[in-house]
Amino acid sequence: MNDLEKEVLHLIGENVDAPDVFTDNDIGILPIRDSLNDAIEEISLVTGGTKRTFFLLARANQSFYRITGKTDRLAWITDAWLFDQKRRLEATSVAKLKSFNPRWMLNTGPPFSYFQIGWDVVGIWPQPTAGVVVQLDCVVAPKRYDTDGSPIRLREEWKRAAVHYAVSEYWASRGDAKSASSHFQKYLELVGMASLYPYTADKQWQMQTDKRPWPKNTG
Amino acid sequence: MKWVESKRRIRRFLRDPEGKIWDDRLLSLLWNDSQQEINLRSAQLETVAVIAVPPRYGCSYMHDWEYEYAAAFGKPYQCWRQHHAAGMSCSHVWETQPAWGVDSGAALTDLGMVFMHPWEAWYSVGDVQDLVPLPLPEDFGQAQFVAYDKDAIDATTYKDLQSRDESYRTRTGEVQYWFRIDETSNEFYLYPRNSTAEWDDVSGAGQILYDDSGDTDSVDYGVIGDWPPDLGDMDIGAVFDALDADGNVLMVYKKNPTNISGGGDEVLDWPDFLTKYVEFGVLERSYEANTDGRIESLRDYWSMRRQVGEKVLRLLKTKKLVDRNFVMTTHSHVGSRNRQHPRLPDTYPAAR
Repeated sequence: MNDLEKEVLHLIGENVDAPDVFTDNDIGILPIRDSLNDAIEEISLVTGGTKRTFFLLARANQSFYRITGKTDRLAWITDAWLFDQKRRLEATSVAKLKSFNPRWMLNTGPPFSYFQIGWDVVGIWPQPTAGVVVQLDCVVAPKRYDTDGSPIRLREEWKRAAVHYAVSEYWASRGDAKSASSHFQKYLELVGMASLYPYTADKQWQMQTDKRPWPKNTG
Repeated sequence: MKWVESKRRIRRFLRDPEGKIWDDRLLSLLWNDSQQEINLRSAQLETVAVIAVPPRYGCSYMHDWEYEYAAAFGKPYQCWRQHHAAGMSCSHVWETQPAWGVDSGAALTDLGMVFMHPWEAWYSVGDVQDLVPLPLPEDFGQAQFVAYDKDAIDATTYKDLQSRDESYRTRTGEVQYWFRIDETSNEFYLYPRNSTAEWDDVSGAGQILYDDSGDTDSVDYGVIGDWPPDLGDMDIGAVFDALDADGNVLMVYKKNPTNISGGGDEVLDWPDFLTKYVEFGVLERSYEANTDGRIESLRDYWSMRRQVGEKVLRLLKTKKLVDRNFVMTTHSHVGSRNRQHPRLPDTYPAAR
């Protein structure tokens, strides 16, 4: 039983040292662990706080790749880096590529752009003529922890939020909608749903003249 | 995630582990309803599929009554032509003469080649008189991008095609458009029909569903998944598979979530980290349903959770766009192209 699970048991009135219902084993603690994992996933995605690096082994004459995350699950790509030419790839989209050149799928050469379709398909343009490695930095939904010693990488205030999320679901499972709603409101306040994504909050807004948009690789 | 796992989580919150109030069938119906609503509001599911040309089916049948038996063998195809006025199927139209009382001696003119299965159209030595259908993916919602043999093609309508080309049925050449005849048949057509087809490496004869030279990702509509040889068996990191679009139709589309029938091993369409939002919708509907377990306060709680979940889903879509990186270049950078169509000479007569 990790610290978060103990905190949840404290708040719901269980005896942490000798729990009656949520016993200290994988089966007994599973409902609490499920709720905490759900909270960690949601917080990680909403804040974009958990990032991983995937290496895409792009093959000759192939543009589309389906990614199956075996541990952390891919949410979206934040950056793509082409190793052999030591440069970033530009983000684009299928619609933009078609507008730029209807025959974009036939282009070959060193990749310039990447795009994502849905949650698990990544494409690069143009398709390489030989195998290349593209490093993808991605926001992920972290692997659900399943042991007491598994690391939980969250800020402290978000750990408190995850605890309230789990307590809320406990009360919902007991039929007490009022207590459940109360704890869920605390979760929303601690996560700060109104001002999410710390990178956006760190931006400095300034005035500038109206410049023409710069040309990009794909128009 | 599989349905059995999601059902376990739902039953925890319903406090009905034995299914005495909400049985499995009801939960699967509510799941199908909830996921359709979530997808409609948040448009989360997109995918890309490769549709083999010639198309591949599991089996074929002639009459409508055979469908329920054919579906067990995979995606079925209704072969031959259907003469619905007489409730019969036929290959050549002159076969329908007896239904109209026409003397069999007064034979109709043979109307050229016909095919029983679509792949035969590319073996034909003459003009094929019918449009050759290709199957849309079962979960097809709305197309976003379609390409044939890696060349983008545009959507058109059947009406527009008939207006522009008298010989649209027999026209062959470089594929430029795709179209659907109706919304219910789940088929689409290429125009002009490609005059040659690439036959993938298969063994056996006739319509082959499996490509035995590699792994097949899905048999329903010919998606070919080619696993990297070293990573395919590893249970770590991320496994990639490439989609081969050579000589096939590649389609990027918004997908409709697949209805589950209640089998425990059914894999849900949603990524693991998004299934909980559909579960909230199921719980809301469960507590709303007119059963012994109806509790309005819990219905309202799960309704609140569902609505917050929908807002989170929309927020995630925004985050995907915010986080993109662009590369700045100069005006003289080669690669910028503003015109999509070839430029005509100035002396070319203007369109009237």
